[in-house]
Parts: sequence; C-alpha cells; structure tokens
Amino acid sequence: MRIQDRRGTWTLMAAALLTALAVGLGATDARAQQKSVLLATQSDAARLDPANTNDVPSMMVQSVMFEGLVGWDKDQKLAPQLAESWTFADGGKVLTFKLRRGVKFHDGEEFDANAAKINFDRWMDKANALSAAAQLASVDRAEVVDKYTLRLVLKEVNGAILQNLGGRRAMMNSPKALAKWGKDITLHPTGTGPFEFVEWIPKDRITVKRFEGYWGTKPALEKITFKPVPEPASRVAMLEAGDADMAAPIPIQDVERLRRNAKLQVMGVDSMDNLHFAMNMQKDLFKDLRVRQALNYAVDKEGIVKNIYNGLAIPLTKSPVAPALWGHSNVGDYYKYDPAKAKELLQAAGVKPGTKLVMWIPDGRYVQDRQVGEAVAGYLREVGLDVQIQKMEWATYIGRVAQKPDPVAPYDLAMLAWAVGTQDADWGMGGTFLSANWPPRAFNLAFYKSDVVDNALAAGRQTTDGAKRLEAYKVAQKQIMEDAPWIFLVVYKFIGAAKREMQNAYVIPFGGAVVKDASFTK
Amino acid sequence: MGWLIARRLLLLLPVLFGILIAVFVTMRVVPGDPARLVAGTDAGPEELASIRKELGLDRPLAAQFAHYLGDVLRGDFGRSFKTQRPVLDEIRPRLVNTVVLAVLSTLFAAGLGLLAGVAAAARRHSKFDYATMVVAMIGVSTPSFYLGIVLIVVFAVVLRLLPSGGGGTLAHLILPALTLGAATLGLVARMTRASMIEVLNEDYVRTARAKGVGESLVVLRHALGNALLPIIAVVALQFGFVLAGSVLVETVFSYPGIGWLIVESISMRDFPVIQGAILLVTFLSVLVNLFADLLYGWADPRVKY
Repeated sequence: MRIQDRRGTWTLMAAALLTALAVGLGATDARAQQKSVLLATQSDAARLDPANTNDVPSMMVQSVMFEGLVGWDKDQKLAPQLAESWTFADGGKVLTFKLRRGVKFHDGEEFDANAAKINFDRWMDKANALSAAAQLASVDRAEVVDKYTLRLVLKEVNGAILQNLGGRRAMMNSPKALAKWGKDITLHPTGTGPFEFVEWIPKDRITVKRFEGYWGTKPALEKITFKPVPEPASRVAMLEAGDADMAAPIPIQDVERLRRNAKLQVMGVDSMDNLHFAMNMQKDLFKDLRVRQALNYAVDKEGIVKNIYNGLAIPLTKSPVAPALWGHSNVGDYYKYDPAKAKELLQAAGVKPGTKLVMWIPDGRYVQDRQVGEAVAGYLREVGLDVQIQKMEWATYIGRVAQKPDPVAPYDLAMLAWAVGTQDADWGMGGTFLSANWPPRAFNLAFYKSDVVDNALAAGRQTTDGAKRLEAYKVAQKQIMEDAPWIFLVVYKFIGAAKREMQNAYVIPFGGAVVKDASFTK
Repeated sequence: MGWLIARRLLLLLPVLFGILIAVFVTMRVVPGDPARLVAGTDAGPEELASIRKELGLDRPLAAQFAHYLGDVLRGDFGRSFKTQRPVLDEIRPRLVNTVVLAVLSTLFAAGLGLLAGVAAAARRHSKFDYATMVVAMIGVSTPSFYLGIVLIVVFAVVLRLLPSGGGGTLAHLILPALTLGAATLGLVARMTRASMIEVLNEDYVRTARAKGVGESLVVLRHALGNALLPIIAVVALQFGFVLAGSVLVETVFSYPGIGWLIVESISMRDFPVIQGAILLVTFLSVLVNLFADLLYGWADPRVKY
C-alpha cells in the first residue's frame, strides 16, 4: 500500500471523527439551560401507576406527578396533601377527610370527594389485583359525604392507617383517565402533582414538565428528566462529565473523590434499611438465647461501619429498626464487640468449635451486602464457627426465603434489610417480628415468636394515639434486642450527588432522590 | 440460491421451536417467583395468589406452554409481567437500537481491522506490523466492560467530547461502537494479517509479481480477494458474539438495547419478555449467518448453492 493511499484514509477517518464530535458537542449543549434537571437513577421505572408499584425507581418518578390525601414532607413527616385535615371518630374506626379545594388533575378534571372515592374503590377491588390493596386491607369502604368531604369506614382500628395512605401507593389518578385507559393507565399517569407527564422512552428516559395548573407552590424547574444508568461507575462518570445534574445512588467508594470535586456536592441520609442476619430459630442451635447473644457479641459492627462503609453507616445496636422508621426508640446499647464473651457463651451453651453454619446472602441487593456477609463470616470463624456462604441473586433469594419451610428452612443465617413505604413501625416491625408473619406469610426469617412482641405490636395497631403507639413499639424493640433473633448489623446511608449550584434536592431514607423543589443558584 | 434461502428458512422453524421450549422450561425451573417480584415484599399470600392468577402462573406448565404457543403463532407475545406493556412494544425499539449498534461496530471493526491487517501483512516484521499486532492483541484481550469505563472517563469526563451514555444521536453511538468493536477489530486484524501472509506466499502471487504487476495491485487485488474468505466467516460469526457482547456494553453506556432488556428481565423473572427477546435474537442470528453464506458465494466464485 502506498503512503498516499494511507494518508487519504486517515484524512477521511479524521473527518468522520470530527463530524461525530461536532454532533456530540451539539447534543451536550442542547440541555445547558438550568430550568431543567437530568437525574441519573439506577434503573428505569417499571410502572407509572402508583397503586400497582413496588420499586423505588418507579415511586421516585411518580412522586413528582402524583399526590395522595397525605404525603411526606422534606423531613419525612406525614403532612396534609390533598386532604387539608382529618378527624377520627367511633374510637378510630371512622376517618373523615376535609379535602383541598381548587385542585385539578393534569387533564383538567377537578379533584373532589367523588374522584377520591373512585380511586379508593379501584384500589380495594380484589379483581384489580393492585399492590395498594394490601395497605388498605383494614378499610371497609369509602363514602362521599359532600363534594369536599370523604369518609373512610374501617373494619377495625388501624393506628397506621394514615401512614398506609401516605405509603406511596394510595395516590390519586384522574377518574377520567382511569376510565379512558383501563389497564394502560400505567403508561398515561394523570395525577395532581406539580409536574405532568411528557414522555417515557423505556430504558432511555422519562420526561415530565411543570404543571401550570398546580394548586401549591409553583416549582422553579420547568422540566425533569429521569435517566436510568444501571452501572454505578457510569452513573458517577455521567455526573462528573456534566451530562447529569444529579445522580443517585452513588457507590461508597466514589464518595471521597466526589467530595473533592469543587463542582459537585455529595448528600447522604440514614436509610431505613436495618441490615441484619436472621438466625433461624427453627434450628435447635438458635433456640438457645446464649448462642444468639454470642453471635451478636462476636461481630464488630463498629469495624464494619468503619472498614466496609467508610463511616457512612451507623451500627444497629440501640434498636432493631432504623431511626428513620416512625416508632423507633433507642432502647439501650447492646452487644458491644466482645469475642471473648462470645466464646464463653458458646462454650456455656455447649456449642462445639467447628459447628457448621449456612449463611445466605442476596448478592447485589443491599449496599455492600457481600462484603458485610464475608466480614461477618470472618468474625464468626474467629469464635470457632464454620460458616459456609451461599450467595444468590435477589430473584432466587426472595423466592427461596419466602417459601413455606419444609419442615425447616435450610439456612442458619439469612441476610435482610426491611424498609417499608409506609415508614411506620406497624409493618416496619410487624413484617419481620410478628409470629404470624413467618414465611411464606411474610419475612420473619428468624421464625421468632415472642408474646411480648406480638402483644405490643397489636397494641400499637389498636390505637390512633401517637404517644401510646410509640410506647408500645418501644416495649417491642426492647424485647427484640434482649431476645436477639438477629445478628444486628448496620443502617447504611443512601448517597446522592449533584451539581454544586443545585439547591433543595435531597435523597430520602426509603431510597431515591427528590428533585421537585430543586432550583439552581445561577 | 433461492432454494438455499427457502431451505434455511424452513430449518429455522424447528430451531425456533426448540429455543422456545428450552427458554420456557429453563425460566420456570430456576428458582424465583415472578409473582413475588411483581408484588413486592409487603404483599400477603392473598395478593400473591391473585397476581399469580393474573399472570397465568397458576396453571399447569403444559397448559401454560400450549396457551403461549397459540398466542405466539397468532403474533401475540403477551404482556410484560413487570411493565404490563405488550412484549413486542418492549422489544422492538430495543432490538433496533442493538442492531444499529452491532452493525456499526462490526463495520468499524471489519473495516479498520482489514485495513490494519493488510497493511501489517504488506510490511511484515516492520515496526508498523508489530505495533499493529500489539494493539490488536490489546483489543482482543481487554474486557469490554473495562474498556468502556476507560473510554467514558477519557472522552466524556476529561475531554468532554462525547456523551457519557444514553442513546439518540450518532455521537451516543461512537463510544459503545468502539468498545463493542474492539475485540472484533483485533481479531479481524490478526486474521487478515495471517491470511494475507499465507496468500502472499502463493505461487500465483509470485507469478503476478514476476509479470511486473505493481506491489499495491498485487496486495489489493490478487492477494486480498483470496484472503477475504476466512475473514467473512469470522466477521459473520463475530456478529453473533457482538449481539451477545452488547449486554455489557449497553449496561456500561446505559444504551437502551436488547441485551440490557434481557438481563433486567431475567433478574425480574419477566418470562414473556425473556421468551420473546430470545426468540427474536435467535431469528436474527440465523438470518445473519444466512447472509454470510450468501456473501461467501459472492466472494468465492467456486462456491455454488
């Protein structure tokens, strides 16, 4: 091949590359206006019908378009949303809402008691098989009192009913849109929130724009784009490259570098995830309290916080649930790292060195789950237990732990973190500690049964008095720490990062980011 | 040739049927309950049962398969468990994206690989030859995942020349296509070089040179024409690998393609989407191989169908 030929080829290639670069630059410049936000998330939404949703990415998108009677404010406190106020009657069995006036759905329909009732009827109809039904199990019926008054009649008192309504599923869709779209309502979200739906290109982006007819404070942003970026390293790179305005979640190992970046801000919040290993109390070994306590003394939680989470976590030593859960109380300071005491307790219980334990881990489900599992296995080996780790992807894992035991579940230790959309101790503790919630009913993976806890959780449910409820959950938390059905581990932080000039954007304990109130300083 | 195409397309039917059964059964044998994944952790047994019924998972396996087969024959691939969208609506745009990416990366890899291979063979044992082969070796052996991240950091984060991920414009395709094509590029370059060197030692090449034919004409016309045959086979085979390899590349670049869709659907046990996607990808691979065979016949006049 002659020199000239080759030069010709190179020229051509260079020209092609330059053209491509020009296109690239154009694409980057197109969204330089800071009335819009591009948020890089970990996964695409599954559905845009709140009543039938179970994943954080979907709920994050829905939260800017939809509202319920009650919702969560910036401090994660339950606050009035489409209801202005409410009163309990008949000992808590009747709940009456005064609705906000002048609220419009994105299709122009008015929100009133009739619209609310249509939504309630839809959620509770078993034939629709909606996820919202589980949270509304205690509701018997919804009644229209007048145009702006809605009455819920309950089957029994439910102290967590408001939290259930705020639980991210009981959010109002336009009755007209529901009638028009039927099952496809998931593709045509029509709520009352500050942003309205524009388009959804699956796995590529979801775009929403400001709803000019919104009843509340008008957002500063005109547009939000949710962009799924499944690979964490790419998500971080996208932020560093300036292609994204915010990204969440951020892997722990990138936090230090991003903090040093003058163009970015890093934000974190204690999650609601109470990472733990359930000890299978169906097995004789774990029927002995001394063994369960020994395993708790054997694990250095502070060490895990420091070495595996770079300090971005807190040890789960004062309560079995995360501080972000409503109903949480610090009930003491339990199980400080003490391997000598662990060995002593194991010896007293007659556990032979080299006793084999099977540990199950849902690899990739929780922040640093595998690393924590390996560390715990290491600590347990130090006190003479022989731990065999079995890692599974989440779909397999949840399928296997939620099975009816036959007759005894095969694991000794099973990892879980229990965060609930209601953010309330009723289901936040009940799902994992009530004796009625052994698998396959729910996720009491320790097969724990305590009358004290069962009674306390029931008491917490049977009153709408907040102070009484707190007291009941406190009793349960104390008993659980004493009984040690779990190896209590940590509550890690959820981390997000954004451009420095972005304000009022934050990450929340349930997971995901909130950007609807965001603005830019320049 | 018409007969060849007809026969190949006919053979496609049992292949697709076999794949369908294999995927259908495999997905149902592996642990994991789609109803539980759809319902979330807070659903009780009653909700699970009603969702299972809604998804048609409460019926015996054979009945489920018969029902599914009937639907597929009518062109209905069902709805996604996860998104409730019709499966074809889920797959079609993703498949187009992946095919665009695969074609682009194959063109890039085959074109540049051929160029580099021929040049290296023509200047065997020169510094250029060694340099090319070292680069080709790196291309073949660098994991695409790692290469992708490096390219993002260099071109998007540091130089800010190209978008770091996503789809839509030609600019979005450059880095993924480079990443995806790197291995094929290396392979084609090495194959071309080896093939060319072999042909350049043939008697007829010596004859051509003896006749006084210019060196570039010898290389490009006499040698390359014959060296091309094994390369076509490699490129066609690679296209299948490129489709498969796009899984990692799509994830790294958040490129909305079929690989990402399949991986995510598997982790959600979204049976209808997995079945539909695998079926269509299989169909496509067979078509590409058929096309390669036809190309072979064109490149080698001795091959007659």
